[in-house]
Amino acid sequence: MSEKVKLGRRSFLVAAGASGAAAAAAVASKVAPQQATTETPKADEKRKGYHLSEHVLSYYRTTKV
Amino acid sequence: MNAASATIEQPRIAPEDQARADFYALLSRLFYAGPDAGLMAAIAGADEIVAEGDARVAEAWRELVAAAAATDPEAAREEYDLVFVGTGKAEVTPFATHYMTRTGAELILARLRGELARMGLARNPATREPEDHVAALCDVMRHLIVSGGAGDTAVQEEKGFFEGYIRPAFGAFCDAVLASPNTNFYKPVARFARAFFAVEVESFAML
Repeated sequence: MSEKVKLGRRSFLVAAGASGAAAAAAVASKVAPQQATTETPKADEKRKGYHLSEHVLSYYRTTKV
Repeated sequence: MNAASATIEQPRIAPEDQARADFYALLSRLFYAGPDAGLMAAIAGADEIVAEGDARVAEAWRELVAAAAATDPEAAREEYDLVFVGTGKAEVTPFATHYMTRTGAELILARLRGELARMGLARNPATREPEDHVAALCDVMRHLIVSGGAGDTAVQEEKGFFEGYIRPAFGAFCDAVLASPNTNFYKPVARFARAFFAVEVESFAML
């Protein structure tokens, strides 16, 4: 793809909200560490289905190492 | 190679791509399970997004931040369980193939599994849910963004995955969340998701 196309897409993304990069990063930083502790099964665990002890950010692991 | 010590070298990514990856991570987390207190506090305390042009994401973000500040995390967790979790039939199913009616769910899942294998991604062995869970699809996008860098091939890979599995499903999924009489906190989550995905659609269309 041309540099012009790339630049157009980038400036569109920046204009649409990438100036919120810091906001997003601050929140995303809470995503991973919280999950491991909060999703551990509790004694009164009545949840079924999709509540697992694994955290979602390791939902997939890469097999290419 | 020792799997525990093996690290994948992460290419440097542009701030706007990092923001996209972070938004995908957040959506993945919120659609995987109800938020805990730490995450709610982080959202409630997040900075505003200042839009220079299209203000949809900025407005939806403001609404989500306000909702996080006004919602008890325990209530949001109960809401998640009530709406998205169900043995057999959840009120709002978080599986993308449900919203993609043109092709059979099994065919789409088979294709998705093939693509994940090609990308070198395997489902975490402890995870039981099918690969088309919206949380999983968002997690794949996050992975593609942070691991792919800014090269043409990487961006095309992101686009292909998004167009194949998220674009055909997110509108109807978000509509279902918004239409539910049982969603409160998840309404602004769905509106933010819709606004963010709309920007993704538009930005991929520029390629």
